[in-house]
Amino acid sequence: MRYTIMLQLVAATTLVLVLAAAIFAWLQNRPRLEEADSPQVTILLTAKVGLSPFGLGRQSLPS
Amino acid sequence: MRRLLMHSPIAVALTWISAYLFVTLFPLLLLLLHPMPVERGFWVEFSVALGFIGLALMVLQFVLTARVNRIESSYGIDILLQFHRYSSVVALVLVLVHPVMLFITKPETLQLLNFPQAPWRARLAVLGTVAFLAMVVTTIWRKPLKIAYEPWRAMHSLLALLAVGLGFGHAVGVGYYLSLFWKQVLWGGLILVALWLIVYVRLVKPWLMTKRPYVVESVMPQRGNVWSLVLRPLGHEGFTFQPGQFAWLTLDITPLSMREHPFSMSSSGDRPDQLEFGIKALGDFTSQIQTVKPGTKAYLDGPYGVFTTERYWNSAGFVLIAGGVGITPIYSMLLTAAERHDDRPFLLIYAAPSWEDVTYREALEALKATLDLTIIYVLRKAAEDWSGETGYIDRDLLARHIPIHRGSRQYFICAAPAMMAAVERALLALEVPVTNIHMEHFNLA
Repeated sequence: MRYTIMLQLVAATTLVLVLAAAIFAWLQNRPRLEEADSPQVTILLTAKVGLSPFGLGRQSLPS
Repeated sequence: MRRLLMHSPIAVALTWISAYLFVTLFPLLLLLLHPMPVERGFWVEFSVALGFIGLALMVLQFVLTARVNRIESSYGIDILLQFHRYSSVVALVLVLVHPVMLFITKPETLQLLNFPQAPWRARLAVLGTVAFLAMVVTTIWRKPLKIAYEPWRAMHSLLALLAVGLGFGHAVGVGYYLSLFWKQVLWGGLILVALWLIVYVRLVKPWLMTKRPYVVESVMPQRGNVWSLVLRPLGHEGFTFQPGQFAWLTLDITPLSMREHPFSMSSSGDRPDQLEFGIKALGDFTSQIQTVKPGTKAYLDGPYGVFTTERYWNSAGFVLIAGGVGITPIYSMLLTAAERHDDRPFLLIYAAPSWEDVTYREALEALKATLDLTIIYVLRKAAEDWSGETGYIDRDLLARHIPIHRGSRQYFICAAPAMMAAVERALLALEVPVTNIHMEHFNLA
């Protein structure tokens, strides 16, 4: 009984973890505004539409 | 914590589940503090997130198995180890899904499996995954693979360290989310915590145990092929314990050897100067107990366990159900209660193969003089003149003896796993609240 309850808990928490991973992936790929040429414009646009502060501009990084 | 557990076990469970999710997800949240990456696609990011969660879960396993008292005191080591088994499998699945998802969505990444040609970061990932897989396989199928406990335990620690270390090396080598120094430091800190915990459990704690040795005072035969091993602290005061708890025992060898076994104390919890264990001659180690000579050095790591009446001070009484050598912790509960002049009613239902196999029989009968104790013996093979219960402890038998107000008592079951499961089912069928039923499994290896 106790182990059955635990198994259900592990299944439920695993679902939460997988959902969190999916949200993470969505956040990193969410629709964004057209890329602006000027960094200043990018910052203004970001502030105006309330994007995440983590999303200031794009950056090419090694995959 | 103990008071909260008595009144609201669900609150404690929710607290621990929240802590578990926080510890697993917080390192991933840190990765969001990152310049917006180039779009790599949902599935790549999803795969990467699962990999990082898998790595965090791997680190968490070191905490679960470190016998941390604060964590253990909520649910007991057997529950923690079972959670460790389940969550390790989850971690392995996540770690395996991480590359498989990449291989499906970006088939060109399959080239990373070409070990001689692959970059170091990919080689580290392959080696780490193989180490993790080997660790899980040798744990689940240890007995069919005929791996002895001690070498398995050493190998388990080594493979765990390799899996986590190589996994971290892979993440740093990829350098995408861990490209910033402070993130490497934070994730590296997690790995160092895991390393410290394993060094503490396997080396520091055993070394500390050598500073508190015990000596075997006597080894006495009891009924039912059980031996009482009596230990006396050597140069220190010993320890008190909550009746029903157990300790890891190492005999005649250094505790660094990893050859330790869990046994319940059968003596009074209030007598630190003389600790007694009831050990049934069953396995390789236990069948040698009778040959242990007085004067042999012993080492103890304990006490551990939540299978104790002490946590239920406000209970109106107790129903104790034992099978065979499962009487050991229950005898300790009764002995301690008698010494403390506990005035609550105790009902002991004790199953044994025969009247001659009833361990501690005379001592149990003697306790009736000082304790409100009713004993129901259940014999599988009874003499013709036996007028008591026979057969197995089932629903009908329990219905005849347990109080009508089921929830007024706490129920403790200690027996072989199959009997514990059957008795638990019977108690639940008799509408005993699930929170009033307590068991402790000893399949800790």
